[in-house]
Parts: sequence; C-alpha cells; structure tokens
Amino acid sequence: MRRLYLETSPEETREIDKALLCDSELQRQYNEMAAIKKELDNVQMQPPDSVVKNILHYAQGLQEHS
Amino acid sequence: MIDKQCSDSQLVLLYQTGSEEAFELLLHRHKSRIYTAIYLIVKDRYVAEDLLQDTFIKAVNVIKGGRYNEEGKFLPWLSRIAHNLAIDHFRSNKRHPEITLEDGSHVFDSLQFSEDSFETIQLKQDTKVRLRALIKELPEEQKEVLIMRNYLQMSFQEIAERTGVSINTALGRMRYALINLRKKMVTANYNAYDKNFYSTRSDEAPLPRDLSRGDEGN
Repeated sequence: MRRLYLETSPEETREIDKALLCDSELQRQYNEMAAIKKELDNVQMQPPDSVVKNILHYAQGLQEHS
Repeated sequence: MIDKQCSDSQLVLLYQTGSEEAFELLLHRHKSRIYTAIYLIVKDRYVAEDLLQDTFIKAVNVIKGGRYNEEGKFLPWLSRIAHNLAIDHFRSNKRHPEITLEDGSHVFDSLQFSEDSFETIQLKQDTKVRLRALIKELPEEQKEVLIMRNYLQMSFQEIAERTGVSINTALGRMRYALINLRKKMVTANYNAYDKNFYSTRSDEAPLPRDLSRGDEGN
C-alpha cells in the first residue's frame, strides 16, 4: 500500500520493486490495486462553477479589504 | 502571470502578498479532490457544495488573518479542515437525521435516505456515479481510510493518528478497501474496469508502471 501511494523511502522502493519482479503473484496483486487506484482518481467530481465563483468572490473581497 | 508549476507553498505566499491569481490556482488545483472527499462522506451534493465553500473560506480567513503556519503542508492542512467539517456534519446529521423534500428549499441530507438519491437513480448508467456508489457501500472504516488517503491525500501515518489506530491497521483497512472495491466492481460488471486484463495469468501480468519505465520509483 505504501509503495502504491509513493510513501516508501528510495531504499524500501528498491526492495519492494525487486520483490515484485521476482514474484509474479505479488506483481499481479499490485497491478490490480494500481488499476483500482487509477479508477478512483478518475471519479473525481467537479464542483459547480457557481460554488467556485462564490469562493473566489469571498477571497477577492477579503483581498480588497486587507 | 504565475507559473502553474509553482508549489502550494509558493502560491500561499503569493496570495498573502496580494495575488488573487495565486489563490485561484490553489482553488483549481485542489477543489475536485476536496469536493469528492466531502461528497463521499456526507453523501449529499448540496451539503458537499456548502462544505467545500466553508473549507476554502476558513482557509482564506486563516491565511489572510496571518495565522497560517503550515509551510510546505498546505494540502494536508486544507484536507484536515475539510475532513473536520464533513465529519462534524456527518455526526450531527446522525444525531438529528432529517427527511426533507427536494422542493428547492430542502434536500435529502439524511444518511439513510441519500443512498438512493434521485441523482443516483437517474444516472445509474454513468460509470463514475456507479463507482462512487460502490465506494459508499464499503464498510465505514475502510471507506474512511480510502477517502482520507486517495482524495484528501493524507499520509497513512496521519490517517493512523487521526483515526486512533496503528499505521498497520490503517494500511490493512486500505488494502481491504481496494480488494472489496475490486470485488464489487467485478460483481457490478463495472464498465471501466477491465477484469479480463487484470486477472490474466500470473506469468502474463504487466509490470508495475514505474518498473516498466525502468524507473526505480524515487
């Protein structure tokens, strides 16, 4: 999991990658997880423009008064 | 014109010194992840919109009030604000569930009833909606870690601290979340997920992306 989310140190990354190369079952599991992670990234929702505009207006309003 | 490659910290500094464009970049950079995370927690689009606004307004107030001291950690800080607001709403809604009508002045914001929202029914064929629905079906503890890691971009260590469990428990919950999600995707015949490709014989499995590029992942 930490490798998938790039939380491993360079040393840990090398060790895990070595293990992945030597273990095809581990590699298959890793690829499955990576595929699902990619899908999760793809389902992000966009807030409506009106909401974005409201936030920007608020930020600009504060900027003018500061 | 600000370079879009600017780090979050640089953008915060620019915003503190009066650049509206810097704040706009920060907002566009993070709005989708934060909005998605909030939505998956509160399960109501309108509430998620309000809480997204509240999150950024709180951030703006702190930054412009000169109280921002999270140098280098803007996203984790923003994520904590969003998570706290969403969890507060989730808890208060759980204590006082409301059933209201979609008549323009009220929305479905009860946890029990929002699962079968009008939107979900109408857009059943939309694969994104379907995957979000599958995420919502995950056990609460697994879903929580998945949202915090995948959308709020918190580290596993931070998730462990915030949820009061060991890092191994947080990692285990994430692993089971992905495994369960995969099972649900296969069962639901989720269109975008190519189960044939990802269940190939082990000797045909593709290399992890970084390895196949010859990149050691640093």
